[in-house]
Amino acid sequence: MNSIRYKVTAITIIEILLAILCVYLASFTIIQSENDRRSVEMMDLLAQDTSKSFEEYATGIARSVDMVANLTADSLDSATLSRCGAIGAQSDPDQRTPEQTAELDAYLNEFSKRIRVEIAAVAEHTHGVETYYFSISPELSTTERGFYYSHVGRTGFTEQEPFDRQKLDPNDPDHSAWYFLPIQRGRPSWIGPFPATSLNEMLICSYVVPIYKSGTFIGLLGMDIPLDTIVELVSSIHVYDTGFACLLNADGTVIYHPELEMGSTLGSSIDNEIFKRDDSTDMLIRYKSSTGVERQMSFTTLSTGMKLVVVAPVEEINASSRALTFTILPIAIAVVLAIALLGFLVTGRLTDPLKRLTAASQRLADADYDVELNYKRNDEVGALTTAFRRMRDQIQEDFDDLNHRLNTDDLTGLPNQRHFFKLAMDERDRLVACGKHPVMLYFNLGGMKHYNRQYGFDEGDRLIVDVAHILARHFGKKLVGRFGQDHFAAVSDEENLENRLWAVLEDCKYANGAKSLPISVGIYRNDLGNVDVSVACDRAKYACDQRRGSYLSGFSYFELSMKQQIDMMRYIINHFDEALEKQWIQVYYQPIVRAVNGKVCDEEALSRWFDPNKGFISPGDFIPALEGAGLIHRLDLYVLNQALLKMKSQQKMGLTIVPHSINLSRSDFDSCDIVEETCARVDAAGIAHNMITIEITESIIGRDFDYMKEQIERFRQLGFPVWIDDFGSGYSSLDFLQSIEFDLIKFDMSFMRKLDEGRNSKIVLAELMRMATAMGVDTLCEGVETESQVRFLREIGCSKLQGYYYCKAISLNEIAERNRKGIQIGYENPEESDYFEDIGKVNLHDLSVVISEDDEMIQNAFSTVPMAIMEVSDEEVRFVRTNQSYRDFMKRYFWPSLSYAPSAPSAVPTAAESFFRGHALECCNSKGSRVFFDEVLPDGSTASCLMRGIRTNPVTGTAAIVVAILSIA
Amino acid sequence: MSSRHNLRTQTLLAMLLLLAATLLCAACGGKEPPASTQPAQQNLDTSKFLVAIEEEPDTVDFQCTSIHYTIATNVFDRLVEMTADENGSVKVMPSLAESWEESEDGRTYTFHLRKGVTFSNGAELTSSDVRYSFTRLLTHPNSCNQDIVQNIYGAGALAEGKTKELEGFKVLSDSDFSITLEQPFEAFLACLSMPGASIMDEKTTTEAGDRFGVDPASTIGTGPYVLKDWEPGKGMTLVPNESCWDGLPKNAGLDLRFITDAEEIRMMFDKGKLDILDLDDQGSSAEYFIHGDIYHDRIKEVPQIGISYIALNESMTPLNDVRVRKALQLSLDRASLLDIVYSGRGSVENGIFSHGLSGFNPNLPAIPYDVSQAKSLLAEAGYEKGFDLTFSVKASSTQAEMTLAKHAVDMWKAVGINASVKVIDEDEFMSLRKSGKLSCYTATWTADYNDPDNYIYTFFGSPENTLFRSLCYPKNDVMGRVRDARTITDPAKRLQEYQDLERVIAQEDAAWVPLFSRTRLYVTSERLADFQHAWNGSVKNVYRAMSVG
Repeated sequence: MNSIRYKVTAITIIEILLAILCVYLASFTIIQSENDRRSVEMMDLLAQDTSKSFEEYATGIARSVDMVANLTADSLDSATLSRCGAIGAQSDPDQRTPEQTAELDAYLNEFSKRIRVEIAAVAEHTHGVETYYFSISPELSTTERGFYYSHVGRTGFTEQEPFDRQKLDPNDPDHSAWYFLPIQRGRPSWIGPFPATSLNEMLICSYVVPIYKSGTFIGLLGMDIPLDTIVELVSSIHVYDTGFACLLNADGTVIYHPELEMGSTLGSSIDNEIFKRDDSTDMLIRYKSSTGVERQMSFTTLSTGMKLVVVAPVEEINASSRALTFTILPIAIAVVLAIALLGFLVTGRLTDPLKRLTAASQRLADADYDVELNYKRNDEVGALTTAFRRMRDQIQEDFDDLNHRLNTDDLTGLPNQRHFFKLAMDERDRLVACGKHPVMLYFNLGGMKHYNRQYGFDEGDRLIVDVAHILARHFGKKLVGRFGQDHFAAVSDEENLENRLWAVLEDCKYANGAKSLPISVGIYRNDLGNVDVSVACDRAKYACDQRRGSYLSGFSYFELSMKQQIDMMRYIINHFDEALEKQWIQVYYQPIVRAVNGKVCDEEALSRWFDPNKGFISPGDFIPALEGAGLIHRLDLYVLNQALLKMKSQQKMGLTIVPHSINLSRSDFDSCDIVEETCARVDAAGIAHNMITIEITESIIGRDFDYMKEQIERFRQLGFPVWIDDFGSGYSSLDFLQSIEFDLIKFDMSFMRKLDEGRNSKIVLAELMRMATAMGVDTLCEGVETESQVRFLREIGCSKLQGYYYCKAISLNEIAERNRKGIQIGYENPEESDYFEDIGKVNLHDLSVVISEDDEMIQNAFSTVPMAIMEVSDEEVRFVRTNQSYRDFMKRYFWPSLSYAPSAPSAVPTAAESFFRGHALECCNSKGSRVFFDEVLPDGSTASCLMRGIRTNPVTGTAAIVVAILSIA
Repeated sequence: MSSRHNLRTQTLLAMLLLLAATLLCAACGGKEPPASTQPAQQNLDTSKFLVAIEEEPDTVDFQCTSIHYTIATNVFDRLVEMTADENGSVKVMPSLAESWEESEDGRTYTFHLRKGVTFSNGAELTSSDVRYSFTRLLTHPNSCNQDIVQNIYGAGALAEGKTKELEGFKVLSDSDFSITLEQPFEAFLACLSMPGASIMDEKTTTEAGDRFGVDPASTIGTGPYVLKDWEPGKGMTLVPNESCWDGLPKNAGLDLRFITDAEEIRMMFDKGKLDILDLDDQGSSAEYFIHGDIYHDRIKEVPQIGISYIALNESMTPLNDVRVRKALQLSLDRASLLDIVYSGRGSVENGIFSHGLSGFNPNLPAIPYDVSQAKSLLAEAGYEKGFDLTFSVKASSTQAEMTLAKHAVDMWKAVGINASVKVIDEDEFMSLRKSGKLSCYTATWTADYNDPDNYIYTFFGSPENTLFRSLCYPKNDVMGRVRDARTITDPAKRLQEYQDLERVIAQEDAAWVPLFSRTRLYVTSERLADFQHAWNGSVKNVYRAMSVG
């Protein structure tokens, strides 16, 4: 990996190297230029200093001459000069008269004498003066030439022959410039150096002042100084190691140079134009000397016009800066190394937490959330670490939460199914390893749905939570799982299991403030086979399901037979498609016979499974199995389709068809919109809706009352008759009979089985039948097998009969076969159906069927036998209960105005008292005895009566007797 | 050696610091140093200013000085200017007054001010400012230039305090006004071009009071420059008036130095630090510029419209004798004097109106140099043995004037007059002169405007004027004619009258000794590109037209 650390260090080093290189180059340049600047400054200064000291000297001379010159000019008498024609517009020497000339000469001579005194005094007091002179312009006088004094030896100034202007050759500037140059310039000037003829060609410099008067040139006044004086000054200058000063002419030619001859130039590499400047202030001037040495110079111009030049070898000037540059180099290298090391260490410090973070993230990637993230510095890495730590915590939290959610039931906090299986497996293995006998327990609360409906879901949840806690307490939190709604599973060992279970069930009775439900427990003993825990659970559940419908808590064990049932169920489900496809499932039809005419009025379509492997499979096996698997609607619709096909083919053949009934299960309604599906199929077959009857068992209504009521109404509104199947097979509630409208009650075949067992069955059936008839609902009994059953049923008014007595369910082929043999029961003409229906509904045990209130014809008859229960004491006779017929009888024959208080026993009227009293007393005296007697009624007719004593009140001694009026003649 | 070592150590240290700083900067990501918020020191860059020498005045209040007009001509404007036209003839040209009409009787002038002219403080120029300027000129206790507007109707009454308003001045509107004169005065417009007639801002000047002419901030005009600074003893700085109606000057400003020492001036000029050198200030050193080839090309010869004269006080005996005065005229070799004093640069004058002035009479007879006639006239007058004559010279006079006096005295001595030069203090000189008590002195009159009136009226226009010059010319009739000449509307007649008067006064009455008019010499700096001079030879009022490279 290319570590940031090495990168940063490398970048830093490169940066620093670049920086140092830049700085080094910059400093080199700066030092160089600074050095140049300093050298220029220094040499300038030196040149200026030297120049200054020379200037002081030269200025002294110049001042002296100026002073005398001013004096001279002032003291010239303009009037005289004017008069002599020397000045003014007409001052032409040739126009001058001899008198004027003579006067002028005389004046000049005299004037010259005066001036030499003046200048002598000044010259004496001026240092370094070699000569002084006054040279009168030849324009003024040819005879008067002025004067010339020179310094000879130590004797002071000695007068010499004055210059003869006429002898000066303008073409020999060396010797004549001193004269012509000041005139040319028109102002005082330093001239020279030039060789003085009179001083043996000694080199001198001369300060010469031209004197004018009223615009006329009068002459020159000057002083000379020897060049040696200047050279002496210049040669004393030293700069750097071997630097020196020299004097040049304004044109750059050498006047004095320690190495060069006068008149030569400094070097060919130097442009003499530069000397046109007054000085070289701030200029870096370098040149190659004739000997090839590179030199630098500074110069300044002396007032004499000479250039004072300070020269130094460049080598020496640069020596210091070069040394400096070399000194920096090792420092720079040291700095680079130091900073590189520092950088390496610092980046190490920076990258270390990053490394740790990387390692941590790798561990996180491996789902290790225990990594340490404790870098806490207040920097970016610190922030990154904090963020990373938060991320880790969040992930861990989320993960735990997810795990928890994945493994735990939200409501109870118990392990969910998946998680429980894992835990249970571990526990089972552990128990087995310990030599114990594990059991899988399955718990189911009975009637949870009703509970929720009754108390609400909150209460339901509370109950579940309570039960969960109880289970967890008894079996351990990790060994109980919730599988859904009210289903729990637990793993335990067999030892003392039943006692413990009873304790659990006992505790559960008080769950949710004793607002609890019965609990069914299924037990699977691992000893039966060390199957997978999920299988064990299934089996425990299966055992538990065997207790379905029980209203008491309890448990049942899974037995090997159950395993076969389970296997069968599994087989059924697995082979259902195949069974339909291969027509292992066939539809059989059982005729339903009208009781009054013995004709087939309906047929019930029933499925039969003829399995090639298992043989005949009972509907009692495959229907619950298919229901449990949610496949029943396919079977039921298959049955419907087959029935419709049959009806269509019968229709085509012109045969009479009667309504066919099909059975629907509760799960049909869950799996699809069975109403819609049914209707669609029936319509598609072109069969009238009233020809398909829907049979729904009483039990499925109870489970979801409102919903089922709605579905039933939908069927009936569409014109499908709806029958209640298997009525009376379980714990029937009469409630739904009042709430749901339906067309027929099909009494369960258990009634038939019990019919012969005692009279109660008959009474119940008769009363139920009467009730149904009273409600206007048709009745059907199935399981009719004997003639006596048929007779009884016809007697009590059951309108339809079904059972082996007539015919079992048979296949289409058999129907055809029976038809062919002519043994098939005839079909009722559908046009007669209503007729027979009404006949069948009449209850021959109830007169009300034949009478009505305002029927005068039977006014003297009673709908039932008039009966009354009376209490007879010594004092009086009182009615305790009477029926309507009796009351009608009493009213009709004794007290038309008699009224009975229904609540309290009322005294029997005196007239009637006598009617019964005797018999009553007789009856009382002989307990349990019956007395038949006839009594003459007030209208003369005779009433035949029956009286029987019931009991005697042991407290009051009053005897209760029942009296019935059997007939009136 | 040790100093070199130190240098090395220091540089090394600096380099290390630099290195460290660079590294630090690199580490910090090269943050920009905060930009300096310090405003740059505002120093007036005078490198492109025209540099000239100026004599430090007591005041630049042009109404109260007869000497210093540099500020008046550069910072202020007048209603009209005297300008040479294309043909070289000098005429009155519009300035602040854009136009004007003269009434038929020549008494009333209606002026129309140029629109949009503002003073350098932003105030607009109005007729009221003009009225104020003239009123102040007449009423200011120190005013010495009343003459300019003395002709306006009611000027006298105002000056004497009889009225408070200048009656002849009528403000017609903000930009129109009329001036009515007592009597026609042909040179009136020319008069208005005089520096003393400069127009000031009424409000500023009223508020300034005594500070006007002394405090730069209060000395506000409409001219091409603004007086920015006046450092006593050092100089004045004038910067361009950005809002000047006449445009900006050609140079970036004026740097006027109060330097009197000739050598100092010369050295300054030699170093190129002075743009115009007036050789009049250089005395005998002027020769060094004139001769030789160094300044040959930069010497500017400018004819000066003016006249040098020697005043003779007629109120004094024996100068009240015309013969004596004529003798004094005749005994002076004026050509020689010109040679001696000015190396012959100039023209000998014989009257009043100098060469170049409108009205100059070339046919005027020359006054000869005739010693014998002078002597005879003296004898005739009874001064064979001469008389005492004091030639007064003020201490501040130029060397030329000194020389002139000396040689004049020498010449007079030659005819027996016991003349002597007396140098007196300037203040005393002026007070004596103004009170008519100097017997003899020399001076030069430079034309203010190009009209004979400017000369003759100044000296011989009234008893006051002639007294003021210590001439004390006695002839009121002649002076009356001088005044009347002003009103002559016919130019030819007027000229004739002036020439007659000149002859009468200068030659017949020998009221003064006319000497000469001069050619002045200026040397310019190398950087001065376009040297200019005014019609009268002055350079100080044309600075604006010169540029420096």
